[in-house]
Parts: sequence; structure tokens; C-alpha cells
Amino acid sequence: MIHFDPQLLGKEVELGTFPVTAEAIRAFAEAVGDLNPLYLDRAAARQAGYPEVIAPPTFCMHLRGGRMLPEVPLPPGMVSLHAGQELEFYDEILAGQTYTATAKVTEVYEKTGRSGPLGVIVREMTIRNAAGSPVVVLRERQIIRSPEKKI
Amino acid sequence: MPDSTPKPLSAIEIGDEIGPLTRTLTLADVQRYAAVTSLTDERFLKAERATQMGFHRPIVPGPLTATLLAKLLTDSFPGWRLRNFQVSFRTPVGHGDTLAFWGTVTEKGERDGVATIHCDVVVENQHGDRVIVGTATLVPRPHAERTLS
Repeated sequence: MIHFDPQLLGKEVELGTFPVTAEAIRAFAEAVGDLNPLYLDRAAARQAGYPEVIAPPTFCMHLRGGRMLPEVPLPPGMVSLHAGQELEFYDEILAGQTYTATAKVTEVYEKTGRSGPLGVIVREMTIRNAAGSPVVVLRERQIIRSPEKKI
Repeated sequence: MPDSTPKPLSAIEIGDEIGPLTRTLTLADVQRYAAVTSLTDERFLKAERATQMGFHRPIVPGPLTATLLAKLLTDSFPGWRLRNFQVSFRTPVGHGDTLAFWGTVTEKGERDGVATIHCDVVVENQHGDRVIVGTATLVPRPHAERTLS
């Protein structure tokens, strides 16, 4: 179902460098309605032991952007679904810091689900701080399916 | 605004219930989320595109629903932060669905000298379908480490 060059499995690609600002954190927090003072108020963040405001846990989705990368071409006529995600947090994302992100495809396989044959793509994105230490690791499962059976 | 007083480990018991938080997610919620995450996939925003892509109606991005679940956890355990958060998206959430977010503390203790709590988490729609099931592990925030254990 999925035609994927196996040599690309595990190959890390650079997603870029991401300066994180207090304004970007505030915009994300307000958009999702999470008004925790740690995300909005520097004094509250300092009281909790952080040098600056921190980002909500899933702010890393903002860094990832709207696409799942590296891209894997979908078979003609097939569509994809987000099947799940796992986030490992080693540290917080802080305002005023610059992060880098890399991503790789870690698994590609096929299985049979309730609606017929499915393809599964597993990716891993690692966000690192300026020292190169991992801050967040995000693993996501994408399912490829036919759109004929509506869900 | 949630209570920000750090919650000590001694005040947390296995079996404690988390939530529930009830939210109806609308097109406006999805538009706000799409704007800050650069999400342009029209299945989340337009009925016609959603139908073409195999859905009965426009859907809510799974990570948005997961974001609200993460908020429930951090609001419920002041002084704690997520260490691990794992969710499976089992059934699509449509615009206008009313969701109940809840969870249960399944373990508490210390791992490598750090106080730790584990939870099972669930999001159910108005039909009783579990749209998300998952687990979470929380550890103390930096200044709370000495006081929460």
C-alpha cells in the first residue's frame, strides 16, 4: 500500500531553528484556552523555579507546524488520520530560548483494521535546546486508509 | 483559574479521580488552533473537504483534543508537570461534539528519587464513545521538588 524507500527509515532531517518568544507562547495558550499563569506571567514562572514563562506541554505542535515530517507520499486515493502521539518531556520550553528540531520516520507497516487494510507511519521529532540536550521527544502515528468507508 | 497551590504527593491517592472537564468544541476553536499551529488541512475546517476525505463532517484535530486533556492534568496537579503523555485517537471528534475529559490516578511513588504519579486518561463524546484513551506521568516542577514529596 505505502511505497517508501526503506533507506529513508531512521534518516534524520533538520526541521529548522525556532526562537520561542513570550508572545508566541501567549498566543498559543490563549488559542487553546489554557491561561495558566506559568505560561503568561513571568513572576509566576519565576516563583515556580523557571527563569522565564514556559510553554504549555503541547506547544511543540506549534513548532512542528501543520505537516507531519518527513513526508511520505500517500498512495493515490488514500487519506491519512492522526492515530496517536506520545510526548516525553525532559525539560520545559522557555520563552527567550532558541530550539532546534529534527525528525525521522521510524516505522512503516501495514495491517488490517475494522475498515479494511491500513498503512501505519510512525515518526519521531526531537526538540533540542541550545546546548543540544533533548527537551521534548514527540512520537506520532499516522494511519493511511481508504476514504470510501466514512467515519 | 486553577488553584496554583502545589499539591503534595501525600494528598494524592491511587484511585483519585481527575476531572471531569466538559467542553463542546466548535469551528471557532479549531480555527484558533489552526492559526497558531499553521494547520491548513481543510478536513478540519470545511465540510465538503472532510466528506471527500472519508469523514461524515469536519473534524477536530486530535492534538487539539489532547491539548485540552493535558490542561486538565496540569490544572488538577498544581506544582507538577508532565513527564510523559501518551494518547491514542480512537474515533474522530466532529465539530459540535461535547466531550468529557477525565482520568484516574493509577500509581504514585518515587522513581530515581523523584516523586512520580501515573494516571489513566480518557476523553468521551456525548454518545459515550471513547475518542481518546491514554496515560500520563507527572513529576514535580523545579521549586516544588522539595515540598511535594
